[in-house]
Amino acid sequence: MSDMMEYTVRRLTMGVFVVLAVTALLFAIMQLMPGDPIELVASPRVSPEKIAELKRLWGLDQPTHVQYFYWLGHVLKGDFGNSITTGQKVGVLIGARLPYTLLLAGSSLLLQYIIAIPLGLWAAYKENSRFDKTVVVSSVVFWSIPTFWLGILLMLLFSIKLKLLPVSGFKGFASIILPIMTATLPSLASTLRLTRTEVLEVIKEKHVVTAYAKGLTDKKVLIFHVLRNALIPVTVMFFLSLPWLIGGSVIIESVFAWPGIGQLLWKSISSQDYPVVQGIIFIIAILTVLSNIVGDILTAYLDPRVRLEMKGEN
Amino acid sequence: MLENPLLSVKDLSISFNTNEGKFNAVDGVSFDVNKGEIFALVGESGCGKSTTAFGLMRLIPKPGEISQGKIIFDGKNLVKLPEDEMPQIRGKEIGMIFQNPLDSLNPVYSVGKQIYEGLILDNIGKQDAWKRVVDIFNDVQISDPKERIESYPHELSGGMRQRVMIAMMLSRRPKLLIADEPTTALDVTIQAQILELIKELRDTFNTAVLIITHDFGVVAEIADKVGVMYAGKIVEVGDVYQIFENPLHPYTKLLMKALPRITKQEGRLETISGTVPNLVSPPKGCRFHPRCPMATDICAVEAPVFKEAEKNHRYCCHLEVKKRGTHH
Repeated sequence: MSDMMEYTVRRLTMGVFVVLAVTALLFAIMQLMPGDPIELVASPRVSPEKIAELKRLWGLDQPTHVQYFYWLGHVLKGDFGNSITTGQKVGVLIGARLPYTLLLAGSSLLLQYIIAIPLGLWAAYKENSRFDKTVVVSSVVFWSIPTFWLGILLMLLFSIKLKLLPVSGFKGFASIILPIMTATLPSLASTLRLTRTEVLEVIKEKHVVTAYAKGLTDKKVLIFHVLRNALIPVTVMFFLSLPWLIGGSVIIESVFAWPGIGQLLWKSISSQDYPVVQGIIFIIAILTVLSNIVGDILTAYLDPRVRLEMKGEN
Repeated sequence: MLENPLLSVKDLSISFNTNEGKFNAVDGVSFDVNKGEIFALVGESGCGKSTTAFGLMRLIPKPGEISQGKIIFDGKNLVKLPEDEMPQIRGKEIGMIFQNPLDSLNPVYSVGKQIYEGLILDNIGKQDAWKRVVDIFNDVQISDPKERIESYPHELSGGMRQRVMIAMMLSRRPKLLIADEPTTALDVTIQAQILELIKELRDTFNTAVLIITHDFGVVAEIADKVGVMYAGKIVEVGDVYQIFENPLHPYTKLLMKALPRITKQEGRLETISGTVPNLVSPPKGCRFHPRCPMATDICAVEAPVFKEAEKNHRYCCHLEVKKRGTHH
């Protein structure tokens, strides 16, 4: 496993550079946006001298790269700076929102895989049956519906018409049901399709015939031979979609006024609150890099052929 | 008094219902395999020999299905056996190895684990099962069995993988081993070793072997009995020396001429002109007549029936042949 250690270290080192590149790029893009935060905060009656002074105070009069390294230096000390609009510490702001996002996105991700894998397996096993066709057609439908529209439809049905669930915001357990449904259905459809396709591919492989020839029952062949192989790409997808936990929640959290990171990101971008946006993107970048690495290592664990390729790379 | 044969295939047909039409890939095939006997089923690609083999295991790929006939194995008709009883036959009573041993092994499990998985179906303890895996690796002459059981299929050579397949399929001591082109994907030297191994194992365990091949060289090396198949039908069946010394069906003769020999024939290797016919609309009469150098008018009209040339040696052709001995 020392090959694996070396590989991990190499990937982590590369990951550091990726995070730096992403944050630097974002910094540059934020500067390119028209207007600046001071003008948004300050009322028109504030004198230009005062604005210039505020800019100096916030460091906004400095060249972009100086600002970036100033920010980076503080981040390395664990200080993400203060929000321009509210003055609160960015770390505190994110910390207060993160649990809500993790609750919503995390449970929808788990739900998605718990439902998609058995359904996908069964649909593939019964290829072209009525069950399979229903599954395929409905997953195309759900995959094609835009999230915000699905959210509004569900809201109309369950909250306005049936008055079963709260419309939006966070008011106890019932209020999480609609956001979870909205977040789960489209991605459930895509995971299901992926599982089904992979299972169909593996089921045609010759080692499956060997497994039957060995005397294994249908159930054992399906779980230990077909599913075991088909789940390798599904696992990779799982880890690649982890950063989406935060990034993808922007729309759903806005539709349902869910007090999570996504909504915070959306508000901060509109008010050009650089430090908050930078902080959130920094977390997403790190999450992306880490989940990619974990995904790769897990693939190597699941597929001995990939382990060989890793050795080959060294 | 002769014992009943271990395997008796009677008038077996396997049909495929495809978009181009329904056809019988295997059409009324009958043959017997006795205990401890090596029976070779020979023919060109697409003649139905592999389909027959998969049919015996009831593992015919869709949309194929057994449409008629019997497979009497050890007193049971496998055609009539419910699907959920087949797992007790497969691996336990009949083992099967395949053409390409890399594709035939699961890439994500160690080879030892894949054999172990079959062994524990027989309710033996974990430790006993692993001990048996090591023993069986010794039986198939894999060196360093204790280390090799940890290897993954891609870490082994082609010959090793086929040894692993043989180990897997013989580990539960089945009465019959079906080998579907077991050496086709291997080097010539490895081929000889694998055939030698199959013969040795047959001698040790008295396992009957049904070997599927297109190569008369393999037949000569290993078989006791031979069945020659053409376009879904058996055209000649006999003991191996009968087939080699006195081939009767024109197709068998042509197949033999296509076999490279160092001693007798020098120069060009003969080929059989034409290709295997489309089975959706097979030729009328004898299916081989369009390619047959000895065809006469009747061949295009009437299908020939089996004739017995001598004991155990039957062929299916309109030609009358002189009894053996006249031109010996």
